[in-house]
Amino acid sequence: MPETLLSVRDLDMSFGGVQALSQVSFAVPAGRITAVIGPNGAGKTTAINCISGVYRPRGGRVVFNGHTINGQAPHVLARQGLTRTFQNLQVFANLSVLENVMVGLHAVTGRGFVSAMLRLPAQRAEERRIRQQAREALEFLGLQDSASLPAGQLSYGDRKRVELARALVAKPKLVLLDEPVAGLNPAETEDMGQALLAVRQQGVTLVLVEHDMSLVMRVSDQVVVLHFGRKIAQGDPQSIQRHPEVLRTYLGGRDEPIPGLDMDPAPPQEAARA
Amino acid sequence: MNREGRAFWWQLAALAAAVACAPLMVGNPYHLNVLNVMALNVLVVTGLNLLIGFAGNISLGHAAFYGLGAYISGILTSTHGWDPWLAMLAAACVVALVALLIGIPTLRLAGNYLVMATLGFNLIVTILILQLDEFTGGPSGFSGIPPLKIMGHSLASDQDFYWLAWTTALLGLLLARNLADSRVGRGLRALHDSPVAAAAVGVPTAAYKVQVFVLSAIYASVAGSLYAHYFGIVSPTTFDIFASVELVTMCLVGGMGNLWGGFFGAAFLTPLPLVLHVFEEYKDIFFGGILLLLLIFQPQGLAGLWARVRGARAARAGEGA
Repeated sequence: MPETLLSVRDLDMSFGGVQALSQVSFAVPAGRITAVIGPNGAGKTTAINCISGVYRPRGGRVVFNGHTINGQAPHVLARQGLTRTFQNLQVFANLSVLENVMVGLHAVTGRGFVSAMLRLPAQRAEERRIRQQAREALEFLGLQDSASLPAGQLSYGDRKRVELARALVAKPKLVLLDEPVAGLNPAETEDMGQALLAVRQQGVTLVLVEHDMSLVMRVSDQVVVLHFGRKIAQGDPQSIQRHPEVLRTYLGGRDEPIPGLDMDPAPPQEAARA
Repeated sequence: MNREGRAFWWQLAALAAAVACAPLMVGNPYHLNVLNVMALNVLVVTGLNLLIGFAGNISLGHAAFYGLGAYISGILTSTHGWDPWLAMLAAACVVALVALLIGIPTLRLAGNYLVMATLGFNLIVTILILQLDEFTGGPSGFSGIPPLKIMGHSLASDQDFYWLAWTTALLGLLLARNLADSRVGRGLRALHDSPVAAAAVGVPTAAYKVQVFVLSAIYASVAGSLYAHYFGIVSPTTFDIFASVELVTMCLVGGMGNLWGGFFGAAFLTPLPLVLHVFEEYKDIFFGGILLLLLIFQPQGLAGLWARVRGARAARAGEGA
């Protein structure tokens, strides 16, 4: 088993009187794909938001790369190599596709206001590097032909890929993907699955929240199942498909495994914004 | 250099050429005076545009920063005998600090609290200028401000000040453009579109909003200092809340988020009251009406209109080919 990159320990989160997560623990091995699944309202997006710094958890610890990161701001976590995508698309609609991906390099670059306004030599060199790396990331995801278009004009599927390119361009250690294939057609879903495996190949650790079970079963190394804010199962995809409690949760008592089971495709109503 | 980069240099060169030729065609010194005020407005609105158009925060207190620059420069030079250039620098530093103190508590919050804070700030500044009359001259204004000098040559005349004001305005435009097309500028535009996503890739959203607010206040302060040394007299009504509204109007009319918005807005609205001087009393109605029509029919402002005309022409040329 590879070393653990992220571990979540006894995570608690509540909104008003609603307990969104209670005592959730799991470990994410480096270089692998971990899927977090569960019915609507299970707390999946809340977990992502707690890990990525959008929410500050009420209790428990999130340990990333050996450091406790509870309550650290998202932009600080991005500099440590932890980034994410969003369930409801969050591309920068008024920026070009290339610029969207260039923003993705913010965490690993550092020139500020003054050097930008004066176009100092170091700033120009950094700018060239940013442009170059962004172009490479676009090519990796097959978006190079749309580079100069405003991102808001792309198709839904292409915008999803822009988000992924933006998250990957800075070569992060861990990317949290909130429903990467929601709303995509089967061909686009297939492409996205290939892209995720290619990303894994590069050594990037992925955590994905996803409703598309066939994708989850195909790409994941490990699956964590949440139900009403509690972890009810964890294991490799095969064992999860046969796990009695998972079957009870999804199928209401039948105990035959159904691979490629599609659950309610409607996105859960957890707010992605703080 | 990319295509947009080249286009910007052509546009800037065209504007510089127009600026260089204008005095030859303007015989009337009063018209030169209008062009000078226009240059100062271009500077303030360009700074304001970085805040409104790029970061998406509205300030209704920029006339106060403009006024603080003017009064601090005036008082330091006239009462305390400072060198005008040094006073201009000191004023910019003080204004930057004030903007920082307003920006830090208000810009950390989501939502447009900055509007309320700056609105209140402008009222406070106006009241202070009126009440502290032993320092500021109160309602009758503060006079006897010396002109700026370059190597012993005084820049008091309309003609001399014209070159200084427009050089500064063009420089302000150039610096704003450099910022917009940079890592920081992309970060600002990104946080305007989606603050959560910008933060997720490492954009320090709150810090950037505060910094761009401070920067836009410095633009206003420099313009205010130039104003004070040009006219030699400053009075409170020039910098009241209505002046702030006018500045925001120029920004919206010119085109938010377009670098040339500041130029177009100031160039169009500065001379308008003078052209329409017969309607002096209805000036505010005109301003309001123009704003209303533009927001309904041309939300990208005059700069956007220009881009649209050019786009349509390019499309026709493309069809013809």
